Amino acid sequence: MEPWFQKIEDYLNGQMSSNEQLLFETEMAKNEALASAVTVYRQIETDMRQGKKYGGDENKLRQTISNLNALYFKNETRQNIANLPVKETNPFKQTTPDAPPVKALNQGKLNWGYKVAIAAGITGVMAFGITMYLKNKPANSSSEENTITDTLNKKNKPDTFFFKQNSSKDAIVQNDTIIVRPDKNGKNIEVANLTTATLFAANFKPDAAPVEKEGPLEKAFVLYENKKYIEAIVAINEADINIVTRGEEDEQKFSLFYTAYYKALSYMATDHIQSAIPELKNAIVNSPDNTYLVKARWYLSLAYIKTGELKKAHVFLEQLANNHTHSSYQTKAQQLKEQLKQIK
Amino acid sequence: MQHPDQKYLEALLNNDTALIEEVYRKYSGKIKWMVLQNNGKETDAADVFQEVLLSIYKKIQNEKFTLTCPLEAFLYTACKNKWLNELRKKKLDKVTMHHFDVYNIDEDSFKIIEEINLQQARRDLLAEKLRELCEDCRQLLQLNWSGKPMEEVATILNITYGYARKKKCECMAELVTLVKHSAEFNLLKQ
Repeated sequence: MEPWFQKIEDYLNGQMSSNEQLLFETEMAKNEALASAVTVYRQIETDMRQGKKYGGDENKLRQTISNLNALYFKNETRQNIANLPVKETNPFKQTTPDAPPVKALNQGKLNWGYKVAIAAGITGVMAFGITMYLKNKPANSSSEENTITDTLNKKNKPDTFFFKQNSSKDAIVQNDTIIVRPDKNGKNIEVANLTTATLFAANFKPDAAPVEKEGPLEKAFVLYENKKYIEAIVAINEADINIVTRGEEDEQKFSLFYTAYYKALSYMATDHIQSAIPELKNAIVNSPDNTYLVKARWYLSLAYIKTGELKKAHVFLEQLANNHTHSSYQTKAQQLKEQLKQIK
Repeated sequence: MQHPDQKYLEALLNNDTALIEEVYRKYSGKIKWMVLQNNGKETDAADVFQEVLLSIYKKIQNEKFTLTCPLEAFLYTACKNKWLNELRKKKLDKVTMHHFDVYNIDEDSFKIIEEINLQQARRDLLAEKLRELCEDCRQLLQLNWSGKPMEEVATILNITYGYARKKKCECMAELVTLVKHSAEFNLLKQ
């Protein structure tokens, strides 16, 4: 070690007498290497002490950012961008009200970006239409468990949606897959082609949060219940698992399951399906009872439908369709299986 | 004059998840696109975006600054500079860049961005060189930097106070030497 370093430490910590300080500063003025070492030493101390001073808060922010990164980069990119020509996905072509003027942009023909946007728009309009229709349905036709799937399959009932193949002479047949619904005169009209996306949209409804919320996941459940799904994911990630492991045996099992299950549903609700799949697998492995096992399988089959992995979806639907202990899911799974056959 | 997007800087400071998520929703796509257009991958874009947000956070922790341009332009320019530095390290900065100069920002904002990127580069260099030290040195330095007086550090490490002081100087001597001999040293000199 160079002999100067103990002196640098003393100098920077104000542990020198005024005479020593004067001598040291005189030496620094003559010795460039020493002056440089003092500068670097001081800079390192400043930077590292600042980092440590705010370490706790920074770790919380890091966690938030890390969660959001997983949502907005890894998955979104993999699903929506990686498969598209990069040059055709210029996000600057989307109108953002508060965006400043942009220069040097590609102007050209209708591109993939637009096509994706248009497709998303059509899906959005369809989802809106379905939602509005359900909202306007007579009250006695809905229930807590009522999803569009339920109504899609109540054939020949004019006050409900239903799935039907080539049954309406007025419907435009495309790919043999059409969702039709009756108009005010009871006549079937086409609303959309059936795709994995529409099937998912028609069937996915986030499960309710547990009635008993007390425990390490309480904050997450409240956020989830208020549809603040991103915050719910963050809260789940931040939940103190040690509290879980100190609980009763049953409580532990449920907490472990809830962690994966509600994170998965939050991912699905925010359209981050790839992130939901491993969580649902965890939920299935850790399911505390048969009801939750059935529910996790149901959502996993929907996730696979959304990602287009229909064979995998079929495996789980088959399990549900053969499970006589939960007739509502059995029926839904049987119906969904039939509908999947219509998708080429 | 303070831009309304100043709220996003406060959100970083307060770890306001909803507003930070809004930042991701609004701007991450553009950063991703910029990186993908310029020899990068999705993971590069994620790293750049994350590091720039953390750098901004560190900057406002130590010294609050006023945002005078839209956050979109600020973030884009900061990410662009950061990505350009990464490309320089990979010797890829000589290839044609696409859509790098999308925004014009005021001089003050540009200076802040430069500062932020410089601080980040310095922290990265220090972290890298710190990893090259032995475990004993790292432990001692980190305990000391966490604000613990050297007497307490000595007790924790079960060594004498005198030896702790001597050891710290040895470790710092090694770290300063490593930094000064690094290719990026000129960053620290600024």
